[in-house]
Amino acid sequence: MKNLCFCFFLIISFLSCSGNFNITEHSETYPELFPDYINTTIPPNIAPLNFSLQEKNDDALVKFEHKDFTFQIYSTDGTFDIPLKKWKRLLQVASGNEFSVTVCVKTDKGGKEYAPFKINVAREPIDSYIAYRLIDPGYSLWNEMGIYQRELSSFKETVLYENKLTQNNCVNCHSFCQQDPSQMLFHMRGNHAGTILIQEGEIKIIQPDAKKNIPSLVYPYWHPSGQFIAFSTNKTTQDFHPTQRVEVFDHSSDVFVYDIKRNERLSTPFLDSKNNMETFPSFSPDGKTLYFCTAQAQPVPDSINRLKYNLCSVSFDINSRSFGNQIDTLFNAEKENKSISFPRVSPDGKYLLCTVSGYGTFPIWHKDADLYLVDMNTKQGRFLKTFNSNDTESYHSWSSNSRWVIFSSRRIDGLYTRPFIAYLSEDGMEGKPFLLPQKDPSYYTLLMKSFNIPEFCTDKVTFSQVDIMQKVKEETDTKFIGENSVN
Amino acid sequence: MSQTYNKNNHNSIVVFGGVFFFLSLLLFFHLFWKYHFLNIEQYQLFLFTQEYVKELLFDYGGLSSYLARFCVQFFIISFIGPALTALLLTAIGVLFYLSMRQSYVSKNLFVISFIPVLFLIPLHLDVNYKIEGTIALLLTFLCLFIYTRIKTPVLRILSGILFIFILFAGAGATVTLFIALMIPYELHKREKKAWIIVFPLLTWLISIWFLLKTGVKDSVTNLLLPDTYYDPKLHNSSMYYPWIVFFILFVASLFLLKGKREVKQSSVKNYWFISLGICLLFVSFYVIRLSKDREYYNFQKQSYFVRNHQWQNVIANYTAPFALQNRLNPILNLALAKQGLLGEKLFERRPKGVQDLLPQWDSTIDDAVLLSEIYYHIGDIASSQKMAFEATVASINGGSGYMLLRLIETNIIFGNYAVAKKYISILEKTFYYKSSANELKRFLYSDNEVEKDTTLANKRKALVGNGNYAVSSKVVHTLEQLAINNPENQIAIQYLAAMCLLNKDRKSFRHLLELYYGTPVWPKLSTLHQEAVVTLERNNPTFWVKNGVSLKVEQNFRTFNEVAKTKQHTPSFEREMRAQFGDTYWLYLIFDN
Repeated sequence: MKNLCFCFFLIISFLSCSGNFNITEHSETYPELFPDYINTTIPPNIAPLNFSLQEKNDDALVKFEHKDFTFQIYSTDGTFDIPLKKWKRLLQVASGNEFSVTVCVKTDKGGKEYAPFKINVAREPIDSYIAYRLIDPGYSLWNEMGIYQRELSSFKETVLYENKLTQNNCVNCHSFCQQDPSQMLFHMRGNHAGTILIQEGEIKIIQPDAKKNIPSLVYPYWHPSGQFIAFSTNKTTQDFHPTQRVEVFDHSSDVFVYDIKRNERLSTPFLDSKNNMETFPSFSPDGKTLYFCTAQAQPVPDSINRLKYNLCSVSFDINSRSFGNQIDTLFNAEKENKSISFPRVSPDGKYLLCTVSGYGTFPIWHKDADLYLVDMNTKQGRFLKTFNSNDTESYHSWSSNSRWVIFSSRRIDGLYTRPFIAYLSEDGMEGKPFLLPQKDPSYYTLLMKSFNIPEFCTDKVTFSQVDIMQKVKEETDTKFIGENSVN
Repeated sequence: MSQTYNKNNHNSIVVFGGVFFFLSLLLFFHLFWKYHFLNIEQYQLFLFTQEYVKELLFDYGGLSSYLARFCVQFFIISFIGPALTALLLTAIGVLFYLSMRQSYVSKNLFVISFIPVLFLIPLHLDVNYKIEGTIALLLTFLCLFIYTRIKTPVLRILSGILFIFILFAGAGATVTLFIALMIPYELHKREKKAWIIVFPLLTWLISIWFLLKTGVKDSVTNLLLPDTYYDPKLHNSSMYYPWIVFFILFVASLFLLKGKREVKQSSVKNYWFISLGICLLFVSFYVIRLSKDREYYNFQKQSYFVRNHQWQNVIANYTAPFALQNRLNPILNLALAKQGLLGEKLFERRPKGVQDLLPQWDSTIDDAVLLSEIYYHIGDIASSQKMAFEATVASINGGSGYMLLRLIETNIIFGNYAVAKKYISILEKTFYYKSSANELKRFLYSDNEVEKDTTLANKRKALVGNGNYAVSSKVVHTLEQLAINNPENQIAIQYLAAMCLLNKDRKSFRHLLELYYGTPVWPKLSTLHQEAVVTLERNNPTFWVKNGVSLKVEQNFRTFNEVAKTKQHTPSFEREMRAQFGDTYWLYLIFDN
């Protein structure tokens, strides 16, 4: 009898919620959502796309529909928290297809139903985790920062390293060897300067070594073998500029390959030129080619507008640990009157994705910075119109199956970088990017930090930040070595 | 009957003694440190959101952090800071008294138990002290009070273990003090099962190991010692004094004074003791008042006046600084500029150079706030925004509501509405800034509304010719551009001319004079400007008249020359010249570096 009463109560409750939505008005337009998930393409293993209605509403309803599988959620404040189980089931049944989302809101006259929109579910899954740094998009000062990882099928965020363990020093440039969570590095600056290298379950510290000509390391990229890491070494300055909020530029920079086992620097005059500045190294997926950006040195900051970085490559032989004699130019900056940053070849080797801006080497502060895709077969490039916005698009990385790209963009408010995920099909078709979903959609509004260097990894990074801290404190000098922080 | 009498007597001691201490402290704080309390609210941002609760509560000692920030948000209202702080300190004294009273009963104990609280007072007047330290102590003594009330040893030990967990989570480092007080208490009790004290000790040690292993804190110092409640980049040994005195007095109450339990004392002795206590309290106030940094307090006071646009108060309350010249002088000069007096009174107080107008930022939050204010009033919105942002980042307590408000204003002026909207959404979650944020909402995405607002429109008008985002490294160029773009804001030209004077850059001054004097940009020369004109062509009165030099300045210059000629070879030359012409540009030009 008790159970019967309870069921009756539940039914009445349900009817009273949904029954109030007597649709009296059908709108031709989509509802305004934050984040905007309308007509996006998502992976089949992503966390629920919780969203809120921009229009102020007390009562609202959202219906998710795919063939026979439908469910709806009721909200009293215009924010929808999608149940994980139902969401997973929806993605499972709609994988390789699309599902429809209909939003209804309560009005004085009854209810208004907005035009339903589609969300495409790709067949290809996305890597399980991403790692990113959370920092203040500041001018010169920082306080608390950290590197975090986030499980993409849920909202679980865990700490990789927080700088509060080492006197709020700068930690930056985390990088994985082909999305492998067991092979990772990041830099520490300040009192515990060094590069933290995690490989084969061990934590090592690479410190500047004048004898071996190993300077302070900056932009990294792992060789797919895990035996080498390409680094740039940059003398970076931050200054002000008539048009950018902040301008960061190099006075000089070189690229070299670091042999992990032998603790040696491998280089070639092409990568070590005094007249040119080389930066942003990256390897091809087969490890035989090293890509890098290079520009003719200019007097900075006065001629910073003339600082345009080409995209070049040189062959690299893992056995002889040597470079080729020929430099190939894939993107001629002078001809295009643009500057290239962060070249990244997709793991399947088909595409190279990079950031293109008007000039310089620090596109994050350039509103014109956009993502640019080069087809590696035809060597033809194009701007990714669907991915790009009127604001900055900057750092990006590929998922291990080459179908997903995560990139940082300032499109939401023009200042705080946020991680967007986008689908790119094998034949280069672009899906509409979506903002990394959060449990509470207002998370991004209240967050005063930027997402920096979003990187995919295939599994959870398991090492402990305390072990890193202890290792760092054991091995690094306590004296201040010098700050060379780059955002 | 006797027990009832004692109980009543005890209650009246707590009530009257507590109220007296509270009121004395409240008056002391309000009369002498009012602006300190009004100012410290500026260093934090408290949000009424679930995320904020989670962020703080799930951290080490989170409850005290949350309660502290909750309280501090109200400090912006006059009287609340002193009242809440006095209440907290009184509560700690009372709880400590009640805890000690479990083992030692004397009317004088009440006076004794407030001695350690006196050591907490100077900490509350230190801007680097975190109030969560006091709230953590309050929680600790609450736990200690309950602990000492439990008669059954096993139950007491079990509750001790529970309190260790509670204090680790809710209070933080004060758990060390709890342990330090708990052990002597158990030893004093001499229970048969005294060895069970090992269990709370083990709990404590395991908790420390766990917290260090999980990286909650990086060192034992930050985990267990009072330094946790101070700015992590600084060290202050006086953080330890209250803890040490609490410990000594508690142990003394257990062992040294135990023979005097229930001693009947004459009322004469009591009055002496109470009088002694009151004297001690007021002597402490006097010592604290003398020993604390009044110059920094002056800075806090002046900052308050600036925030509230009380320019006359800034000028009236200015006292010649010793260590804080780089802060107090720029504040004064800003106030003078706002009153249109910079060109009259710049040299009244022997300026050191352009740093008296625009100091170099020393990477502190105080300096960042100050510079943001100066730049905002000058009209250099990009620099004001930069410094407001730096202040927000520099805060160790999650930001600054006031600076967030400045970020909203500057972004609205720039037309960066999306980010302004974000900041408004954040301030809408605050208690005090909510209404100001709401008022600014109407400007979002509405250039028309911005144009209708005199302040915002004028500041926006001044931006023409500058990059919207630009923070210029060429301040002089920026000031000139601002003065041209918006002649209604005379502060930019006042600062520009003052910079030329302070730099003794007569060439640039002449350039400005030729370009702008007599135009809306620089319609009128003030006395110091006229004095500078005279120095451009010392023997050309026609030039002086043509460039607006008054008869009074002309006569003053002649007197200056005559006195200088007469006295120049005397040993007291500089002193006498300063006495007579100390506030003139001519004197600065000759004598000051």
